[in-house]
Amino acid sequence: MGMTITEKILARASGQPFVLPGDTVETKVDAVWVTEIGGERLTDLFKDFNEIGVNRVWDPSKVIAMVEHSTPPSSPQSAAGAKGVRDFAREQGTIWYEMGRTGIGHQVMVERGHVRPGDVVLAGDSHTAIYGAFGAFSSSIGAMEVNGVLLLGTTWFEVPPQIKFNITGQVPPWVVSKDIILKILGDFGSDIGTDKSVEFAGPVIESMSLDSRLALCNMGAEMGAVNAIIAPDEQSIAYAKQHSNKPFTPLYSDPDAKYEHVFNVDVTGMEPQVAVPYRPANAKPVSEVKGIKFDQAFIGSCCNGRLEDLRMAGQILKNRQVHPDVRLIIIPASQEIYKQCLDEGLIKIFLDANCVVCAPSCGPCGGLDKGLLAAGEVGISSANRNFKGRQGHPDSKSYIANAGTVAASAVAGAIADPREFV
Amino acid sequence: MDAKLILRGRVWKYGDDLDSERMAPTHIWAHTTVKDEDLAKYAWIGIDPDFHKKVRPGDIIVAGKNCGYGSSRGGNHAKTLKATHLGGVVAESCSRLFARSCINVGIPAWSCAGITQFADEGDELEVNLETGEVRNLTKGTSKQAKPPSEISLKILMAGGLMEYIKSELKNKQQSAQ
Repeated sequence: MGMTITEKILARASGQPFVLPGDTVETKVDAVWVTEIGGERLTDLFKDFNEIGVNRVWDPSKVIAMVEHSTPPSSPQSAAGAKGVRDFAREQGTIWYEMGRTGIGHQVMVERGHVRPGDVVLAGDSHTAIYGAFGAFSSSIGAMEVNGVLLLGTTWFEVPPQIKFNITGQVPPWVVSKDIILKILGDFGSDIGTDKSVEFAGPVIESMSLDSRLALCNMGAEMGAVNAIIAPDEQSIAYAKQHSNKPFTPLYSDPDAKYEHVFNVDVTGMEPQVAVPYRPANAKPVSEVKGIKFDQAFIGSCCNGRLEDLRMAGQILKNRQVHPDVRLIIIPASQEIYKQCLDEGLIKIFLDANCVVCAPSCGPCGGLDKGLLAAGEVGISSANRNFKGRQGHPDSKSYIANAGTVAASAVAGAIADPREFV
Repeated sequence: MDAKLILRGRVWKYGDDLDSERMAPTHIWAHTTVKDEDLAKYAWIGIDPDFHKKVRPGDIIVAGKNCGYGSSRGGNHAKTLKATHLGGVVAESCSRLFARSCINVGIPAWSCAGITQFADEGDELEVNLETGEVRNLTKGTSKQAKPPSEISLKILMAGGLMEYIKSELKNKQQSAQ
């Protein structure tokens, strides 16, 4: 019987010839990253282990340390975290990226070549499913488990049941992977992928850009998936080769791999989607929510703060202004993306439109960094999650959409359809 | 049998889709300093602010589907529950990340389809983690669930992930000698 990509990666990483859903495997880890969140505790990690003489991470070349969610730090707490992770990186000799060389951790991992097809990549961040865009097995683990990986270089997984979304049809203008995944969440529910491995396949995925694939797999977290994954292809393999000098062997699902369910999704005629508070699964076509007022728009995040998203925003914002009743914050997901935006003239467009452009970081998403919402305020953003209070005060609320919809809404001063702006 | 393999406690019952943000709100964790002795006060705070006053050691949370979905919260949702000496969490379906975070601090958390029909708030439950049998002592009924995985049980029995890793590292050192 055949295996899926995920099963094959877990089998290879655990030294098994074959695995089945339900098997528990101890997998080797190819890369794990740590950040300023909890950074102040990283240097304490080894105190408990001194008695047994363990005082080094298992392999510093596989540990990536960076300041990323909140850069530059906006509170004494996050400054302490940044100092902690910096001290840890120096003490342990791990790979280290200082602010000014980073951005949101997930984007840095990709750009700096720490993600290769077939790898196992982990982090204590719930959107770690993102690297499946490269055909890697990537999954979020708890903060304590990150410590476990730092010590052992391994962790355990229960091989998840496999499901597949086969995405077909003609992708309409101004519909991107964000809309497709919001629609899937709306149609199938936010627990459709709970404890499962989700593979995305089909002609729409094959012709999809890497930026869009990253956003799609990132949103795997919102389905509760253990991991989300897309088969490696020329595009993702070429990117990985260009950005990493370590060899890798991609893996692919067998034709007779077993899936618990295969869902077919036809995107023909799909509208841009907007998820209303307080769940990404509350997706509605933009035409149904047009005209809803909000206070703040935000374009950025590890979901939709990449070049493709900022280009969409630029198309809308060129020669236009943000409506005076609202504000639009734009945060490129990394230093690299920021530079590309400068080269393409996008930053000028954003500034001329009266947007606030900030240094790469998570911004309002996660409620940790900057641009937070006050009590009673409403936001619309290109982020991945709109739980209650996610972007600021517990009594704030937010809508999520693609970057074009957010930009169009900022110009209109109320939720708007980007298709009416071009 | 190790006593810790049997849980016994009163049920506190909650609904579906309890997200991680409500379990450990960002405004508390990112913008204030929570002292260790205050951890229990913040347990379940965005779901039931009085939870820490009501819960007794060994009590069991019964929840609906998709319990704990969302972010990893630095494990703070699990740590605060641990501070209340909660016995365990049984949900129709439990987010893997939340369940693992709980297990890592020594709280059994796992999925048991049908549990919300089986137990009402205030019922006394007895759970055998090894066999997966859940008994409702108040109603005199019993139910079979899939027990937590072997590795989860090992971590729970060790008292949490760090203790488990310590024993694993010790074993490695001993076998290398």
